[in-house]
Amino acid sequence: MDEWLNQNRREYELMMMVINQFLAQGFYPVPTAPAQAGHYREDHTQSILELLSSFPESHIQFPLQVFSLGPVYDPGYGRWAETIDVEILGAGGAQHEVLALELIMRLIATWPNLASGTLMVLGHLGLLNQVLATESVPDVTAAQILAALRSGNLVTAETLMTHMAPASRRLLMSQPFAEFLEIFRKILPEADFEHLSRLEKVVHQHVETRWDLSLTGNWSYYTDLVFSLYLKDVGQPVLNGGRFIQDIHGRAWQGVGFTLYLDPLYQAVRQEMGSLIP
Amino acid sequence: MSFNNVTIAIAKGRILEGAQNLWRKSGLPWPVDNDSRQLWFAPQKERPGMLIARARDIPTLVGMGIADLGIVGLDILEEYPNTHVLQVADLSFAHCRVVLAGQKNQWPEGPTRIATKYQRIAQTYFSVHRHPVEMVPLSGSLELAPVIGLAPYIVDIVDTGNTLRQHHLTEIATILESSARLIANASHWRTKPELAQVRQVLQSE
Repeated sequence: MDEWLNQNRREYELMMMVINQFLAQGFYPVPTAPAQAGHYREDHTQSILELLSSFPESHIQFPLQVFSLGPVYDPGYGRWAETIDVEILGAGGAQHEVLALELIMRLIATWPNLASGTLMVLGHLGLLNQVLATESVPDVTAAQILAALRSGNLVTAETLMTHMAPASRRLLMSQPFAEFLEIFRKILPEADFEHLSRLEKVVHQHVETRWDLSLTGNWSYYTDLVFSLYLKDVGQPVLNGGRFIQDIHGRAWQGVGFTLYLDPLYQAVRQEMGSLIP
Repeated sequence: MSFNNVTIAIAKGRILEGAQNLWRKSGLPWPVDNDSRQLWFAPQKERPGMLIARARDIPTLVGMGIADLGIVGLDILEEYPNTHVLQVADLSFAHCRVVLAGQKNQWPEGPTRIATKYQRIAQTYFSVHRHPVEMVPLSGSLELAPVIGLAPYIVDIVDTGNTLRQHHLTEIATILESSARLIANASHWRTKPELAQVRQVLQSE
């Protein structure tokens, strides 16, 4: 029993450590309810934004950095997962993508084992839409491709992309940035490679990266950069996130957010915790 | 290519038989001895590890990362969707259909009972058609339901349709065309390049 109690204690110590990092960097906690209208919470973002929308827009100073904690229901695993949901809100656009990744990298830098044991995969819905437009894919088909990718159905997505150039289809495979960029330069010579390179640089100086346009994020509100930090050989993400626009009661919220899953994070850093927590 | 770091979960029954053929045509050694009850085969350099399990458990095993890849019917994926699983190839064997069947070739009139082991697929289908139904969950011998008066219609999987005919049932509509699919754990698919190589080997046939 002692072992079980101690493990629980250490998991909560880890959660407090992460929360303290966010507080120290100017993030504000926002309490959200775990269930609404008969539905279990699967994501904090909607609840955070609904709460914030109850304040007049003129009272909010952007960028607004907030986080919410508590379990979310994961229907894929059929269980509750302890999470911290972090949002950087405001009209910062692509700049907020860099801010969010820098924040994540500061977190990762706390635990050297986490950096060596994880791999970040980056996708980009904005670029995917540009590729589909360049290939003259009709809007209806583009929407079907996105829906298929969101539901994890690469078979249908690839079938719908059969008539596209092989290079465009290769962007749906996970690959190192250099290979991704090489393909991309041929397909979209006008794209903002400087921004992509900056994102890659921010992440790659801490963790291994791969780029994959089949990664579209779990939620339909993502619009541009999406990312997942995976624990190598474990088969679970440590965090998922992306840039989004959400309409809440007529007010458009934009920003970059991510959900940090504490259980896989603990698995990754438990060896190192003894030296970090007194 | 080394398969030391790859495990694949395969559904028992028709999928396993089809996988065996595909495996051998792809030049991979097949580890399963038909007379043995062994269900787990560790990965080796020349072939992936293998787990044999019930079809409906395959998405769970892959989603949890116990297996990197899985082979299972599309019907199971539609009935038990898992957000941690990617569908990465249609392996084009074990073709079958999920159908609506009844004693007459006639669409239900008014609210009706449907006996099925595919509650999600059936519910979605009738929701799309805006038809009120009451589901009767059964796990097998569905074709008995209309005969014994449990439900006038069934939603079940058919291959040749012989079983339906033997019980004097008629196919009214095809709800889903199914075949064996290669699925992958989403994390492993994006972090282990060797999984794409396994797909290539299995699709080369």
